[in-house]
Amino acid sequence: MCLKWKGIQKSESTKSRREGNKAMIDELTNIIITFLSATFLISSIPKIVNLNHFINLVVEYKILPKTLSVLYAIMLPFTELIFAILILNERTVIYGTVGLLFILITFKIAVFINVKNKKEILCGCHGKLLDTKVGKFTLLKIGALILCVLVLLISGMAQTVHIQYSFLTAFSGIYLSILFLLVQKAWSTHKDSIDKLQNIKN
Amino acid sequence: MEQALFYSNILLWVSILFIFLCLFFLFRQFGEVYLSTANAISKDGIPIGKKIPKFEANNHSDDSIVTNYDLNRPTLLVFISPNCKACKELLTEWEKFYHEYKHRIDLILVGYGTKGDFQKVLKNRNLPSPLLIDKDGVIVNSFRVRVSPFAFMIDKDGKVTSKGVCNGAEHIESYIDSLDNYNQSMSAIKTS
Repeated sequence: MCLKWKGIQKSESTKSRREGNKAMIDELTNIIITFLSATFLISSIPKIVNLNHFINLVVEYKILPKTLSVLYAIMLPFTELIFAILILNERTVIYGTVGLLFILITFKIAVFINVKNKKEILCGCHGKLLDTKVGKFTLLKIGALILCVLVLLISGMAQTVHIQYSFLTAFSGIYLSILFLLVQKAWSTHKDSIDKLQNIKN
Repeated sequence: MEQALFYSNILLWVSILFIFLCLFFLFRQFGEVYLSTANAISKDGIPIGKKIPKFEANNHSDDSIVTNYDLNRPTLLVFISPNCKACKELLTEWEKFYHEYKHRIDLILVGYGTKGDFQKVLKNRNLPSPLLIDKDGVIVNSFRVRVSPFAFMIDKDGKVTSKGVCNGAEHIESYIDSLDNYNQSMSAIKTS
């Protein structure tokens, strides 16, 4: 009788531990979703507001022919906005994730080519909001976003995404995306200062 | 409550990482402003007026051992490293200076690296002066050298008369001139 009781207790504790882990994974997935959504919303809105400025930046990349670059530049902010909204819903999260992955891969290729050619152009990652130059840090930043999207994609494919929004999830996601912007601002300011200092010395 | 603690824990960790990143940027900028200037670098090395430490190293060309006791004349000791661009540029002017000043002073190079590394650097070059190989950086550390090329002008008593970065002809000439200035000032002190 006693042994049986211990067995039941053990299985119940394992079950509750599993549920606890699952809840934690859900919370983390929700944070990633809100972070990605907030990041792409923050990124797309300034591009839409100053669309002509963004078109000029994309043309400067000189990877696609001019007409295609213009078309890509017009479509991109709206696509970003749509995918940022799609990932917020449990039914459409997978479409949004695949879309974001595709966009990020195109960014990665474009930035990689320019870094390899040592071209000094503006990134245009956040339109007029941040005037950061294309460089290795941009590649790192896109890599981090791709990692987040892949985590989301894997949990989406495993059908383990259970989106439950709360004040805390929304706050965390927005806080992280603002911090992400601040990191970029800190890096670009730092890089500019170092460049200036080296120019003064030379 | 538990959920709030979980979220705050994650956000605090991320914030700490951000603060560390900003601190790293600040230190890097601080280093660029204060530590990598010519003025700051010239403070490196053993102080002017002090005697040079004892050392012993193999000459690159014939493996003969050279020590501090072999420096019987005023000597220009220049520290170089095989991967430094400025050092390679200096070597092109070194031969000319060696022949110009060899009657007045000894010109010696100290290389921080292996013999093999310097063989690559000296390929297609005719180095007239001795090059002492400091494989483990023992001489570099005892002379407290942080950057290369770095020069010490040493008088016949083994005392440092001037020191600093050595990026070319102008620097070499100024170190050699400093030897006369140092001797003059020392004799003025003695007579007074």
